[in-house]
Amino acid sequence: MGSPRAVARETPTRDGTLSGGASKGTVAGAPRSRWMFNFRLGPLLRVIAAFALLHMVGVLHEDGRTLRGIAFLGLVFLILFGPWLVSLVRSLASERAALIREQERAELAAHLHDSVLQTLALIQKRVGDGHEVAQLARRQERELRRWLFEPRSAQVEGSMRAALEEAAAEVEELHGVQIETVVVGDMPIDDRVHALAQAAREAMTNAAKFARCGRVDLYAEVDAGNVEVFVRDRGIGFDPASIPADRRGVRDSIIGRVERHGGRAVVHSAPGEGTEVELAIGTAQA
Amino acid sequence: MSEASGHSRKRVVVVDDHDLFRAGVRAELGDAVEVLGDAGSVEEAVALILRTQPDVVLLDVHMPNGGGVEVIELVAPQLPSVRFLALSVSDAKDDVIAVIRAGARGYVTKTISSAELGDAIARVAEGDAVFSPRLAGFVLDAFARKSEPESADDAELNQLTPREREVLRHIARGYMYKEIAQRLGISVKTVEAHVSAVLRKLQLSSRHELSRWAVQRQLVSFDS
Repeated sequence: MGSPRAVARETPTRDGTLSGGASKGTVAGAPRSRWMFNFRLGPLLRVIAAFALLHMVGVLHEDGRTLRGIAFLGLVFLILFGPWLVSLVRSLASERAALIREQERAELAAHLHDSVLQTLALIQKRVGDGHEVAQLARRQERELRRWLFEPRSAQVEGSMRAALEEAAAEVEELHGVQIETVVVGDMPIDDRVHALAQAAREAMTNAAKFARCGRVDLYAEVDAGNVEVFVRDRGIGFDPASIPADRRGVRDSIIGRVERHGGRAVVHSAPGEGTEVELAIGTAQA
Repeated sequence: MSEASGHSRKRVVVVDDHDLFRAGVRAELGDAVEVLGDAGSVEEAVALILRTQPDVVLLDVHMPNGGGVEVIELVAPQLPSVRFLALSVSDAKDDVIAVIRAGARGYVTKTISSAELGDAIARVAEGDAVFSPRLAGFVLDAFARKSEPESADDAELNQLTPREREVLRHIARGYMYKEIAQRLGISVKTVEAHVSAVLRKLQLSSRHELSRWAVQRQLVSFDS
């Protein structure tokens, strides 16, 4: 019968390590002290109860029937170790929570390292090239904003918002313009939305290449199954009726592409008035 | 509106927790306005604003120990004449809407050009609302069409009129007030009146979680 005593002597030690570990976190203090209370007063009572039980049932006598003896030894084990097992499970759970927090922190650190810190390093290297520094900063800002503020759904590839923002980012980087992107609502991408995003990309590219102004506005709205996209610049404009035959961009890549999917594309422009390309597609199934 | 400079230079306080940014704004604004001072925390800002009583406060949405909302809530009861214009790099929709609901007259992003910023300050000082394309997008999202209005009283505050929606959509598309007036065949004053009405609805609307169901709406469209 040495083992229950040994355990009874051991519990305060175990308790000591637990409360010592928890003493760093003040929040965890209250529940821990309750456990300490249990362990300080509890073991003695439990050992006495265990002995009383064993005695009553006769396990302590040599003639005890084995099965009953085993069952009651199990009960004794539970009485003695139950609270400790519960606290063990709890501390494992809190360790796991801490581990998850640590993983999240590491993920955040990794993300900042790959994005913001790299960009800052690049900016320091290219400090002489104002244009490129602005591009770097703007790209980083857009990426960080998306990572911080946008619902997960938008970050998942396959949302209209993600497709449009990606297109805008590509055109910004390729042609060095600033594109102000505003999207209201969102929806999963399908063939029509994909076509619309491609047409919008082409419209932004045209604005960047021909409008001779540094800024383009992109606006998209999803409403009751209809998607509308507007690409606008305040550049030099042109006469839409006189698009040269070799300028296939507007006819094929914008108007044709959208009309093939049952949509509508209109180019509003006049010399000196800037240009706005209006794209619309009904996504509700007919 | 274009008299930002000249005899009626607007008196401005800049509130932002980034020193570099405050210095940048001061430099950019140059002589267009009179910068009375700047502050990097809520307490500093409140003290400075109460002391100098500026026309317009350029207000960062986020700062340590509370952001623009706190500054407005602490100053507005004592100095109702001070106008606030939120100015920020990148914020979540809910935070921007919260600053507007607290009483800011507009929201512009930090990438705005110096001339546009000077113009925005002048407008806000006159009591007009200044909506950047991004704010217009946020507001359209927040007022996204609902399936059924709660009650007749709420409906008026919680919904935009077709005209207001049209004006906001034009702002989101990158049009200036003057251009919107031209396109819709109304006066610039009427455009301003529509924008101010939207601002008022945003501030008075009983729906405290305007933007929450905009998110729900988005989720719904993803489910279907």
